[in-house]
Amino acid sequence: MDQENEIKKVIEKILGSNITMRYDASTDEKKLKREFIKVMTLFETVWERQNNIDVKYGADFSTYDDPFFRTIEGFIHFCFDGVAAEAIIFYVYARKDMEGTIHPFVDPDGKEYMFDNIDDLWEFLMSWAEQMLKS
Amino acid sequence: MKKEQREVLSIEIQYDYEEELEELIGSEDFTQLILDEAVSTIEYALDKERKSARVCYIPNLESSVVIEKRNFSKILDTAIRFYEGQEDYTKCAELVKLKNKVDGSGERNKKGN
Repeated sequence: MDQENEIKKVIEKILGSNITMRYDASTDEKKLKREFIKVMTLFETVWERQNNIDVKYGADFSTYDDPFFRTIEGFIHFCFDGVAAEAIIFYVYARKDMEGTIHPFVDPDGKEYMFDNIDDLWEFLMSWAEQMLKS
Repeated sequence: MKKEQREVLSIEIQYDYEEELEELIGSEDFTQLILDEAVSTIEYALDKERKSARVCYIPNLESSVVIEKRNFSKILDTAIRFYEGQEDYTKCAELVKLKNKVDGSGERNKKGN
């Protein structure tokens, strides 16, 4: 997404006008992945923003924001199977600790998955969905 | 019957550092390429009465650069300034003509509404 914004700015400077970057993916899966990344990036941003306000200014908005986050979690559980939903929520809330160390997600069978980035989470969700369809 | 379609330019933009993008902005060839393509797509959009125009496709982002009709005139101003700098006054005259057409179509739409 950063690369897209950087290239957008370059073309806008050249043309001297605003432009729109329209996603023209060739497959439905790619389109879906992009939408997922967009939503997850927003989710992560609001979560980090809440934590940063607490760390920087000592203002704890967690009680105020709680219903908002519960709404998001509710929709995630509504749209995804239990383990997939847990993986998504884990990715935002618990994957990284305060020192920035990344921790693995553990599935109900005790298998560990490292999500270094959103692509890793997407790959996990795809393989999990495949497993669900087979069983 | 097959619809006549404009072939869209495909440009792959790969870079490691942001400075490379600054170089791209400073490149006369790249600026001319983008401006020419924008002008050509504006002409096409006017002809087909479209509200937006697709300038080019960037395969590594799987995205297209799209300009809205309300910005056509501004982009043509940029192109006119560029060709003034090149002292290509024939091209400038063509662009001014096209800009008048764009502005005229905008005015007509306003009156129509």
